[in-house]
Amino acid sequence: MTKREFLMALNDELYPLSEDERSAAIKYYSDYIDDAGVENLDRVLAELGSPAQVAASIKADGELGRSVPPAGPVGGTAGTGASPSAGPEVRRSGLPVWAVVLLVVLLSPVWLPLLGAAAGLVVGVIGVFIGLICSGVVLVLAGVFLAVMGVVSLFGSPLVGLLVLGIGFILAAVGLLLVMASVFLCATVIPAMVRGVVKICRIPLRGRQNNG
Amino acid sequence: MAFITGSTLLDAIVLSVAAREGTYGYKITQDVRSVMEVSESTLYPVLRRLQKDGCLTTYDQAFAGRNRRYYKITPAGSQRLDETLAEWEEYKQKIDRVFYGGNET
Repeated sequence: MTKREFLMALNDELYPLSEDERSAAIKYYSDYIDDAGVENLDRVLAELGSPAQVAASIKADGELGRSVPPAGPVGGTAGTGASPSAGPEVRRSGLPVWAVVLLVVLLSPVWLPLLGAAAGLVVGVIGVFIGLICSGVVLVLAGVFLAVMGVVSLFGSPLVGLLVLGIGFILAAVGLLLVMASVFLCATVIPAMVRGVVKICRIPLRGRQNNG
Repeated sequence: MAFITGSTLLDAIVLSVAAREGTYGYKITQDVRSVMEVSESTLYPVLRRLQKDGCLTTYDQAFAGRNRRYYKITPAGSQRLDETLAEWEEYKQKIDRVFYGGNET
């Protein structure tokens, strides 16, 4: 795994957190890996654990920081240090769970069709790619068939044979290109679309997990 | 190390490391790891929490062609560190008294 891959995966894992939190964490680990040195990359990544584990440690502490007050001396002066930080944190917590559920249910006439449309779009795109790949395969088969015919007729009439052979090769080449291009597009476009849809679906949850 | 290290102690160690000079994540991790066993991913949440509590502040400074993020202790952080140090001193004396006997006061 490269540094870039690690940071991108970490960013994905941190998605429920706010932009601020994510960029701070990414900056920290980017610096960390740079400071550890390229030659230590494998060891550092192994020590840090998977991006999911690192993300879990960041999210877990967010919760810990809220539920457990700083373990300072009981009473005394240190208590004053804790109370101002508790204030803004309480205010920041978003809608209660029941409100989110109610909102989701009430808004279902809006998001259900949207979700359906998105799913339809994904399936449609997949269909288009299957069609493209199939036509490419058929072109290759036709090309090969023509080439074989050309070789056979070379003995009867050499000119016609060469012509047919040539056309066969061209068809096969076009078919191959089509298959390769479709597979490439398929591999890049479909995951990107799925990721996009997933991100859209996560938006309503984002605020909550952020505060969790 | 056989002793349990709570978050209060870990916080104080980090603050103490950051109190001497502006320092950065990797170095803090190495400094803390030289005295106690923590995994490499332990320190970031601690730094972030201390930053949110106003005990640490960050600034970016150019280093080797990139901007490195540095951590520096704040006045509030110094105060918390002093409080923990005072407690630590008290705690240490109590434990020492039990371990080594001496004057029963």
